[in-house]
Amino acid sequence: MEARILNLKKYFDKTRAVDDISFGFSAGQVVGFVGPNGAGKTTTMRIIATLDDPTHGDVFLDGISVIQDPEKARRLVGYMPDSLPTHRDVTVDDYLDFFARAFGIRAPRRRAVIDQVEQFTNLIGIRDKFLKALSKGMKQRVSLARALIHDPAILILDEPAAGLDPRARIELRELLKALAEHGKAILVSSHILSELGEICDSVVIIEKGKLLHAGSIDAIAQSRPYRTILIRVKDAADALHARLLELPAVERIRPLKDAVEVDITGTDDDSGELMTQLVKDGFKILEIRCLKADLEDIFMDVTKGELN
Amino acid sequence: MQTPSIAARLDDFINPIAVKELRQAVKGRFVAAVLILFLLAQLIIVGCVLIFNDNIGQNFQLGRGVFGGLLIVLLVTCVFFLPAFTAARFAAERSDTNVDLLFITTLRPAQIIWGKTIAAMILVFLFFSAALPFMTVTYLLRGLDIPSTLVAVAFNLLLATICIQVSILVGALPGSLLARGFFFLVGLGCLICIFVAGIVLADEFTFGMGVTTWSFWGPAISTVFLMLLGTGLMTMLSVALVSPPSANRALPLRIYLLFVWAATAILAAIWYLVEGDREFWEAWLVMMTLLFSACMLFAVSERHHPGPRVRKRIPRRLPLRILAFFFYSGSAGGVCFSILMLALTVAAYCSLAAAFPSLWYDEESFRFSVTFSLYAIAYLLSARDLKQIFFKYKPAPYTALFAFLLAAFGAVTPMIAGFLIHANTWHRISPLWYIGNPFAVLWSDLGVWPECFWFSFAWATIMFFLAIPWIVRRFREFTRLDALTLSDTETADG
Repeated sequence: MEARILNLKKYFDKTRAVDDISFGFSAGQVVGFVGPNGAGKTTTMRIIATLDDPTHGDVFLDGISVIQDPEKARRLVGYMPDSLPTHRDVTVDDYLDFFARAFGIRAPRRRAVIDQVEQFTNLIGIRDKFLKALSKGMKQRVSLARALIHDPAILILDEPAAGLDPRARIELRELLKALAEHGKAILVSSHILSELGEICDSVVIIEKGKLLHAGSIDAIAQSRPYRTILIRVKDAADALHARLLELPAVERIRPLKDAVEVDITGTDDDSGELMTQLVKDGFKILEIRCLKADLEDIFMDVTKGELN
Repeated sequence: MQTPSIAARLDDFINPIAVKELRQAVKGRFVAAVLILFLLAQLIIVGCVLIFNDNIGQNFQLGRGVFGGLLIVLLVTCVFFLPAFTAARFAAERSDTNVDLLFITTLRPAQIIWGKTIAAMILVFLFFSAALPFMTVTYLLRGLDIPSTLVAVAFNLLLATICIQVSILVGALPGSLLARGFFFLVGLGCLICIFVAGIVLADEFTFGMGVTTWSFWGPAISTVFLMLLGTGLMTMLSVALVSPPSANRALPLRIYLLFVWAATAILAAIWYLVEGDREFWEAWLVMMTLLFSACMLFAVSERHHPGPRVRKRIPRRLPLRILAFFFYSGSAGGVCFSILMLALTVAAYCSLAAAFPSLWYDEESFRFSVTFSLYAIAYLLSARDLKQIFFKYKPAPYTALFAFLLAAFGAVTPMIAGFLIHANTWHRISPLWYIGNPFAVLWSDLGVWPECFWFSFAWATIMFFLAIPWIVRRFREFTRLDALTLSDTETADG
């Protein structure tokens, strides 16, 4: 199972919401889809979910075009929008039953499918509650259950963690990991990059509708032109800051309480020479550690924060 | 593998939307509350008559009076409460999110509308069946015959069906709260008209309209046929409104309009041949003029470029492509379709008038249809051009708003100018000041038909010729979009 997004463009009059982006993801992968507000994430996801048609380009889900054959493509996609279900006078069970019927799941199997999905998303205890009585976290789980009801191979999740408390967020993370282990191909957008970093194998970064980066987080981190090092010294953080400013390999300095984070350009040898220089200068170094770039660092490096 | 039971098969056969709607109705309080009030009202009416009427034995018309009272309660419920319930629920669900969720299932827009209709009609049947025991009592009170009662109930059931369809159409309309409020008022106006019609007709039926004669069944069948066509039109419009913008929304609607045009023409022909009644022809002419003018209003407000999903279904062969241009979604094709149908309507009337000269007895409706068609073309194409020049990046539906504003301006401003110029009196205004008003020809005492005709003809012709390059450009772009293949993605893998 594979999803391929090919030269996708979507224009709204003068606005280029999505501007020629191409990427792919496959079964068992969790791909983070990140970008500033208005970058074109939701538009792209809606096109993949067959809700909008592109101005140009196409999306192939297991070889099926979302333009040519949207009905077939819909059976392969589970879409979870960034807003929650608002139906009145509907219980969780009735809501899922409705979508099971809507996807044509027949009566003998339907009950078993609903039970299975409710169990997986931990909704058994609240299946008879009305949707309007649920908390946001519970509604998110209902929304995920709805997206899973027809056992889609591809999941498109738009801001699933928005507004969730830490516990609900951890639960969601575990659910996504379990789904990936079940072989689902997952595209998930979120503004909580630390969360995404923990569950995603790879990431797609867009800004102003354009694709900036697509690939594994490690590969993108390694492609950064500098490394970040944390240096903690005894009683001389200010002096260290002043000394580092004089060194040519230092790109950026972020002072912390009793240490500094330094972005250093150049090779390993250059970094080694810098450390040697600091020791020669008489700084009593308590700790020195190379920091692994996380998704937030990568995102800040890659994007400029421009809006469409 | 377990074989599904008959009940399970039946369960699968039912429209999912209908199941959901009925579950919601059962679990909500509104329907239960209205049903209790309804039964209470019926009980009070029948009970009061039986308890407080001293001369039941002598009054041979008592049953009819009570039946009328019960029918009013039934009509109020089925014409106001149930449609309001249906429209409010649908409008509340018509948020982008909920509609999106429906579109990512395999349900089609038509199934959504059918599901809503079925669920609402089941509630209507529930209330009718709750009313029937009380109505049976009225038969025992005398003054009614069974055929008239059945016809009255059946006719009111039909009216309730139309009301449900009006409510679904109102509920399906997109737009802001203000726009929805406006549509709600329009819908309410329709419901009030239907309610009054229902009361009047029920009264006519129960007074013994002669339901066994052709003079009853002839007009009745025609009216029912027209009502069904209207209900069908509202259903098609609702389906088009809930369809995603990327779908070929116009195709089923335009095919249905063509069917309505032909079916009503045949009905008018039958009436003319059987009864020698030309009024139906005049009504057909006027109604088709209004219908296709409205069609053109929708067409100018459509998106100019059909989406890729529509374009991938455009036929390759030129004759079929030309045909598809008229019927597929797209502003230019819609405008051409509307103008063609307006022209065909007038041409059909003229041809028949040539064959049957007695049709020309009253030229008023012909004059109105011709000038109104020309004004519609002139105003709508002007609005389209103005929108393109001054508000190019506003969404296409704004064209309809500009058209209304332009028509209001064109109709009212010259009249006010004339009023001010001619010594502040309406009586001395020259009829020429009414020339911008599409309805001016209806006021025969003004005698402005030739002026209105030539003015609207000249204006519509100019606007049409100005629109030709746009239509040609759109037709050239109306080509089949060749599908990308998966092999193309080999170079595009991120």
